[in-house]
Amino acid sequence: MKRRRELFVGFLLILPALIVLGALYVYPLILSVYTSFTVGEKYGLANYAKAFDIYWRDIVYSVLISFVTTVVTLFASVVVSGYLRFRNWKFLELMYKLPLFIPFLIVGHAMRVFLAPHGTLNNLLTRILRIEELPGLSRSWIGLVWAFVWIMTPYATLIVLGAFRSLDSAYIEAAQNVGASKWKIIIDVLIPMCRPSIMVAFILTFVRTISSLTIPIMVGPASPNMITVNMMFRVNYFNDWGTANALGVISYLIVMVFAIYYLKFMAAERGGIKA
Amino acid sequence: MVVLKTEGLKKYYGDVKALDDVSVEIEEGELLAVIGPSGSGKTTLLRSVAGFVQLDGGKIYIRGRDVTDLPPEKRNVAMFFQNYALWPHMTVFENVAYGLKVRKLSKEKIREKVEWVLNFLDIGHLANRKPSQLSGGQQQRVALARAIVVEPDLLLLDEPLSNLDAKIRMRIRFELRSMLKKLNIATLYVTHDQEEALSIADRIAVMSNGKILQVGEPREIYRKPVNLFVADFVGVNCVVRARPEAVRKLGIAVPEGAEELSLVIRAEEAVLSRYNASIEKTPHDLLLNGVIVGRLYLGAKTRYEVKLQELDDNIFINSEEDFQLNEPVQVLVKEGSYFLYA
Amino acid sequence: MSVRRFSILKLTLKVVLVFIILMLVVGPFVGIAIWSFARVWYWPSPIPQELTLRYWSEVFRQGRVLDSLILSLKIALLTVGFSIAIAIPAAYAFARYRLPAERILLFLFLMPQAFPQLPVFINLARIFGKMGLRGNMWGIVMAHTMASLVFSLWIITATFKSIPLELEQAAQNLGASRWRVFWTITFPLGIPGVIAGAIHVFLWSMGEFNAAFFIGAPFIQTAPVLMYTASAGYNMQIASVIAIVLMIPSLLFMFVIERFLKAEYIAGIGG
Ligand SMILES: Nc1ncnc2c1ncn2[C@@H]1O[C@H](COP(=O)(O)OP(=O)(O)OP(=O)(O)O)[C@@H](O)[C@H]1O
Ligand SMILES: [Mg+2]
Repeated sequence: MKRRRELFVGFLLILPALIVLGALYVYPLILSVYTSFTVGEKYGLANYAKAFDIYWRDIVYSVLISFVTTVVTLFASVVVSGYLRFRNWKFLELMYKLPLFIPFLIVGHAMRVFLAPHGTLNNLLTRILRIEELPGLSRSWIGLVWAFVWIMTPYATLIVLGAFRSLDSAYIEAAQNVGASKWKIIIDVLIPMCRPSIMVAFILTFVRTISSLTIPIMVGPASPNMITVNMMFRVNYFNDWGTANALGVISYLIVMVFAIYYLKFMAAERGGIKA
Repeated sequence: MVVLKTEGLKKYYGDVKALDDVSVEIEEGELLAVIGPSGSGKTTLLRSVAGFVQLDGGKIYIRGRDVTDLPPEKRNVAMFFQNYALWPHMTVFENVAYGLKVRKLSKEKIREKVEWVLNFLDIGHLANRKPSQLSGGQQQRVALARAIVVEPDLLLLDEPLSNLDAKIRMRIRFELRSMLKKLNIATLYVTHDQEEALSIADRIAVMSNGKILQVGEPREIYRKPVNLFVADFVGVNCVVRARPEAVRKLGIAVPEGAEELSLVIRAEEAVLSRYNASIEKTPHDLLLNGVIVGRLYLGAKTRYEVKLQELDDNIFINSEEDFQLNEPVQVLVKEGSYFLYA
Repeated sequence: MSVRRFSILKLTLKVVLVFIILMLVVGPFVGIAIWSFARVWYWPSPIPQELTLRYWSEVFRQGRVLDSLILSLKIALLTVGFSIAIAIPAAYAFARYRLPAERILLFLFLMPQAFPQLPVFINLARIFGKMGLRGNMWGIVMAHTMASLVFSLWIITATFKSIPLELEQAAQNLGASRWRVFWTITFPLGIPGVIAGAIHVFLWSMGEFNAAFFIGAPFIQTAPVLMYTASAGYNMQIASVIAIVLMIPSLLFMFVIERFLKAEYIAGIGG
């Protein structure tokens, strides 16, 4: 009886949030899946056929860009976290956190100016290297990855460094003691012992890269494109909701395995503590 | 040959002097135990030698080489961690082999050495297990194996037995001593358990407030403590504050000019007997009169609280005999079981 | 002697490293800062040939820049109000109550972080279109409330969870009802987390593009949407001015909520 009551009260407390999520997230989500299977009045896979036909290169491209971004981001965040685990450096601590709250769109704009053929970076490099002209990185896949890595590294570092710092120092000192260098300790002790957190960083970076629209529209090349940009074009220029949603569902499927791992891991961590 | 030599080590944490001019030496094959109350700087001393503490002064030499500014990985000292710090993602074999891999030994050589040390410590059959599948005692041996397999110049142990329950502790204490003796490795051993130190060490250093008060063999520390603190810290004692006249009446020579004296009595060595029993004593032994004011049954023995008449203070003494409350008794304290400090 | 040479080498290395890090992290913003004052700027001059304050003055002058900023501010404040008001009871339930089908609920509230959100916004825009909510400020507020709910909820849940259960039990023990315990014990102790969550939602909403673009444009333009339009039309000065204005609160508040930062909780930010 008491238990039933508690379940009921808990449910009531969650109810407003649940209604908002149901109406504004779950319903559109279902609609997107439903729309992807309808053409006019008929059901079928025509939208998927079309999506693959026109955009198969872009789908592969999106996965590759996201993968490269994720690998570079993880590498950078492990280097920064490893450094900060062993040494205090206020400057680096500040620098890695600085980009955390800057909206993606603004980063996109700033990167576009920074990486343009006559942008800030080339302005600086041509003077340092005494070269007349350098190719611009914006509107190329390198510029795109550059901007993504710039945005994603702080988040990944926050996760990885948090895990590194909460690891008992004795494990590190034991390795130092038998003669291991800092690099070796990072590779042999810190990374394997913090694998779950690194996995979370990996997943979040990948999912957020592949689902970002603003960065590719600001700095990505005109072609090939990330599928998010294709979705926008389909809706804005062709009013073609079917293909746009087919692309959306494809992006769900690409992240599916990661998402499920993430959900399981997080659900275990976020479960309530009860008396 | 001197393996470890520290000269005037200093370490301050704000106002706290964790190390205050600490100098110790350890010979080849010798086991030096450092004892002292909590917060006296034992761990700090050990971690300085390992290289994990940035010193504020002093020098550390290992086999004559100045290692003061060397990073931990270049010192060739092995540390044994209180919670073992076995890497959970590696097997026992990999844990032990790690230091050898870092030193880039050949595969065969590594296998040979690891197997030797595992067998030496009687854990050869556990090589392929993960640390989580081992008992506490087994984990401890693996940690020891990992520390000694790299043939360090010096072994550092910080309260290695404190995680074990009292019964196993006794047994492991002897095992540990015999293993270390067989290895013949110079060892710095930190503990706050004075009994453990007395039984395991070749020499003992007593620390308090970052200072070393006395260094000597266990017998010397126990029988000839240089000051009140050392006398009181080792053994089970009773410290009585007394006026010089009262002490003089007992027939003990009293230093001149002292206002008040501290008499440390090794309660564990005091003998309780009936009021009228005849007792043999030398002139330097101490015979005191008292009354039983409290008793506590302990099984094999009974613990008595005795009010001493001459000194106007109470002392706790264990005895196998049976005494009643309010019964007058005599307390015999042999020469060398009491110390007087101004 | 060799020791000194070594430390000079080290110092040089460090200076070079600092320079590279600054160029990588702060560099991108130097360009837009200069652009925001430029009237004429041709390659290869390192600085603009002519400077002007004209574009900055638009921030304070009646017109589309100011309008878009005010619209963004209104939306952000409304979003903070709704999002936090809905998140607090839910967070308390997640932290302290046994829930029916708890695992499914957890999955549901974590899903928006694990899956791409863009398709959801696109379809939401379509739904709102049929309801006449497109080009309407309230449509954007609703979308923002939903999307920010899933991270404000977790920030506040974490705060409630970090309050020792004993503190509540002690009050209950003295006869306080659950309702009273919440308002006199849990909520006051949880205020820092609630504030952190609110700041977070505010910053996110101010910079959000996807929902604002699909639901609002072209009828109403929030500051980010205007920035996008300007940047796409190579109106670098206007875009840069808005970018800087939007960045200022982000940098200011970062220091306020820094200690509440836990990456998993801010995973909701993006676009
Ligand atoms: N990292 C630190 N920061 C500040 N003070 C410290 C630090 N490490 C040790 N201290 C202080 O230095 C003193 C000596 O500490 P240490 O750990 O060496 O004591 P210990 O003798 O090992 O004690 P225990 O028997 O409790 O292990 C203590 O007062 C302690 O509070
Ligand atoms: Mg200690």
